Amino acid sequence: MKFKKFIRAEEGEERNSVVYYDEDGNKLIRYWKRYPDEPDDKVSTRSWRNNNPGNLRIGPFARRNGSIGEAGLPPGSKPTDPKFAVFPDYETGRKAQAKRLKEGDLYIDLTLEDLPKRYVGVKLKDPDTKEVIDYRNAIRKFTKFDMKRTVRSLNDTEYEQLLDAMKRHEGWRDGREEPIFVQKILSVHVNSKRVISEFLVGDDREKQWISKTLAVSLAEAGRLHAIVVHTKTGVYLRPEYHNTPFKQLIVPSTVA
Amino acid sequence: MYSFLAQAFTILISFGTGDSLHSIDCESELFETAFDTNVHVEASVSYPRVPETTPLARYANEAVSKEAHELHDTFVQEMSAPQEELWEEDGDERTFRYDLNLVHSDPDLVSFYGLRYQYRGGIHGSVRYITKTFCQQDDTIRELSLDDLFLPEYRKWLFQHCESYFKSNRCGYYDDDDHSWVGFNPKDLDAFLLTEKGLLLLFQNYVVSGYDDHPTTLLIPYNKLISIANPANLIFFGQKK
Repeated sequence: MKFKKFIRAEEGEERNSVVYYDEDGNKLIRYWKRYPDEPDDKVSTRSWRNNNPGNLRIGPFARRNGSIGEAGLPPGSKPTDPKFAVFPDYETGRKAQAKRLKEGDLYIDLTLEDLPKRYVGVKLKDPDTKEVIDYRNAIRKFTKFDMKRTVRSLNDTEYEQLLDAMKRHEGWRDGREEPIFVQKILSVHVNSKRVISEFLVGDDREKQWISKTLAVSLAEAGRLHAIVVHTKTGVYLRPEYHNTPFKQLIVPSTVA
Repeated sequence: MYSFLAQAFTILISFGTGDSLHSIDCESELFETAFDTNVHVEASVSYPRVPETTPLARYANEAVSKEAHELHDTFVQEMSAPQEELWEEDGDERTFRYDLNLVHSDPDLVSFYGLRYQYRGGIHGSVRYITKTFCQQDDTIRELSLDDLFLPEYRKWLFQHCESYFKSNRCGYYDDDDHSWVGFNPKDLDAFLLTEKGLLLLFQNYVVSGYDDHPTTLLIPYNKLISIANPANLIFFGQKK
């Protein structure tokens, strides 16, 4: 199966993970660690987990430029503080960063020397911090540009080189992904008492009949578009909101 | 506004092979400031109050409190003036968070770990990890630095050890085949803690790796440090082994 367009993203349940949802409700989880004891210095970066190579904070700009959610509270922050933007894919995140430096008048006329200062929130009149010095050195060494040049002066190819340098300095390391495809209920079989006994699950290309027990297990694991209902007399499934009622999905059983 | 709250026992960072740093439950002091200029400004500070049963505890409390207040006051003062270099979509708030935790406490040694987060405009905020270790030897109480623990020229040894580890394990920026651009140098060795397993070095964002949710750390067992240790302060290694 393939994902459709990701339309929403949020923090995952596992520490530092991010969950993406596509148009069909399928999920892609990007994890911090590949395995529980993986050393912290080998784990994936926030930028990768969020498809956000520039580590843009969430805000009106990020939302306007394709962000589909937020994840990753900066260390020490309060839960209400802005997190980092999540973009549906790397290209959208990269385009947002590219646009950010050229939109408005905050960055475009800065020299490459001054760009890191404003990028990390140090006022231009204030002394350089170690963070600024290292950022500047990384840009200089990666791009080999004259650092007196402005962002505006860079041609398209040069601008991409600048973004590459910033991506490397912000940090980019991939990690483990887990696709979770949520199957749809296409048809149901009922027994002689008109109780659902089997579900046809899958999509247009791949489908199979499964027992009610297995369907319940899949729904409980979040892998089937259905709501599990527990009653005194047992467990049953009902369609998600706005989905076709199971009554309309009944097809006759084939008798062997 | 001041209030005293009990700190929860939480894992602060993990390091080495499955070890982690925990906060020690104790009272903490919390205060917050919020006001508006042409931006919304919030500053919050939280630091522990070690039970003052020893002169060392009193000294540590005073030092921690002094630094927390100074940093808070500096930020608030700077933000009291209208902010320039504004672009409305960057977010119209400025934030300061200072959060310190007690991670070790015995009659001769008290250690803290925490961080300072600031958002002063720009693409994202800035995090600085903080470590503080106070000790008492005879009648002398002081804050320990790496310079106290080691012989002169130790920085070169420590730096080479760290760089060699990062290169061989392809950590952070050293995952890249070309790491000539990495700005890591011996002066970056500043944040440390003395743990039971060894000396724990902490690296700020952008030193050996990019911006992330946690600091890069490296644990060096004490037995590897004996050759560069200051004999006068070996007690600190012995105590923690």
